[in-house]
Amino acid sequence: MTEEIFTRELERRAEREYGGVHGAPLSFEDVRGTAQGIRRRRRAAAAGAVAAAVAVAILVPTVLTGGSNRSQGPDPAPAPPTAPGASVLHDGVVTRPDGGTVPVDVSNENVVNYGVLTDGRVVVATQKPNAVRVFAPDGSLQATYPVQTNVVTMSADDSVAAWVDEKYRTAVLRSGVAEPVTMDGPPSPGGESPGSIDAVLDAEHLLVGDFNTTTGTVTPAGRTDLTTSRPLRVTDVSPDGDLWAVQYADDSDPQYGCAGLYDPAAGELVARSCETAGLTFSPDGKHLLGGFYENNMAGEVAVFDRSLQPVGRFESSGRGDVVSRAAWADATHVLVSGTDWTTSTWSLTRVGLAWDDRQVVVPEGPGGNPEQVAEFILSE
Amino acid sequence: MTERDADFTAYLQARQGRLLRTAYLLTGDQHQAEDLLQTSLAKLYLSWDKVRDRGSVDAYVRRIMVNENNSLWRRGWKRREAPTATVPEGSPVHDAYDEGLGAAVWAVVQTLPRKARAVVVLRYYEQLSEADTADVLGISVGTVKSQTSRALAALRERTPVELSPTHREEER
Repeated sequence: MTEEIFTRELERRAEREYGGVHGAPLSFEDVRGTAQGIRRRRRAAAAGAVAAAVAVAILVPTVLTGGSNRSQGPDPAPAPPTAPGASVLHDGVVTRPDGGTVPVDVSNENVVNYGVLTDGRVVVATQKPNAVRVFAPDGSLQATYPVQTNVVTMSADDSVAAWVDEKYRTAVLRSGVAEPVTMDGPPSPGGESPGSIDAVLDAEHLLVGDFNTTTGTVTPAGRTDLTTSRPLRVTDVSPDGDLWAVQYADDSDPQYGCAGLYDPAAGELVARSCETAGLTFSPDGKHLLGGFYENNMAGEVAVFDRSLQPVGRFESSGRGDVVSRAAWADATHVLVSGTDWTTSTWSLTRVGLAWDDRQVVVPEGPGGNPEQVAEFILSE
Repeated sequence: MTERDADFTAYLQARQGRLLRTAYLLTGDQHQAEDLLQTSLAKLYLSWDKVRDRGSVDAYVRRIMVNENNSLWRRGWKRREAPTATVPEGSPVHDAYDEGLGAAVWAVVQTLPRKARAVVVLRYYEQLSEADTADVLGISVGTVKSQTSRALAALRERTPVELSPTHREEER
């Protein structure tokens, strides 16, 4: 039995069904009519998403402050977030936390990650081309930068975006500044690997490494080695810069290692958990979000306090419900792109710290295969 | 008609027949194939400006078809788009050979999981390389190899021995 049999028999089967069809049954008008219908549905969905996001944006501050009566009571209002929440990229539109939108000419399947600078520009790392693209607040493409590593790293306050440019240098784009400046690149093991930008402390201080371990600091003066109490990789930095969320190798979990909080001043781990990975700080730095992602999805995502004790958790029922992406919406809410990989249905919701108080931002609808695409990409 | 639409129409006329056959092999059903093709071409039309200059229109539309087919299958197929004005001519040809080896091959293809089936169609009907198949499906070359290997093994298991080419050679 050979592969040729498959080739021949599939050809015969197709010819048997459609032997008389050479041009085709579909006219240009047929296709255009269907396309117009798809476009209308997309616009309706985008408008729905924006309306929902705006409604939530209005709702949440009211809830946080407890309304006018609460503001006069004895309890102080929660501290305002010190970092912005995540934006959402869906169907060529970035919806910011304030409900504003930016149309960007990229398809989600081609986006690695992206960030939204505080000046409104959208910085997108793409696969094809291998590049970083910068879109103006009105959605027009401002620039395309060839890169060695198509990943964008944002500062906690979204005032800086950084990447490794085509000459292995660190490129730093500041909010309000037209062009990026360049500095020494991350370490380049063997002179070939471009290295990683693990965190942006500010426009002149970046933590860099080799994708496994954070090994240095880059400033305009050059690159210097970083010494930590143990080999670790920084995954995020608290808004005040005092704590680093890290991942490090540990025998208790050979595949993922363990997560921890590292105090760079003291040079020690102050909390650790082998129950999560890829921790990111909430905008106020009081909580962390982490999860195990495999095959472009996560079956378990959780919120932790600064002792890395779980506060709230999503756990798949095992029947196809998974998280595609999760990110901080604000200091007390997580934005969750959920999907069911058995049906390829997608939704976008907000949940509280305890994974409660679920609010639908975009109702469940059809989409692509979550193994291959994220229908809602949340900003860095 | 704009230059853009004229370009798209030329592509439509040149490639639609082949794409319809691919859609049929992916779905195993004429109506689903037409629906799949219409939706996929409409999505291609919306992205035409981005895609046509890349010289990879076929790869792009194949990817849409595979993803769309998985979505259609997963949410339970129903006819969602307006029917076309012209129904494709069905021209079934009775072929005794089809009742044997051809039927066995088709039975194997129809029972493959959707992804594996897409691998087989792209590799053996569209004649894509393993790398191109992997690229269209967004999977690794290793997965393409393993899926095709399993499909071939299934075909060997299910084909009556008297229909296998080896057996036929021996009979002569």
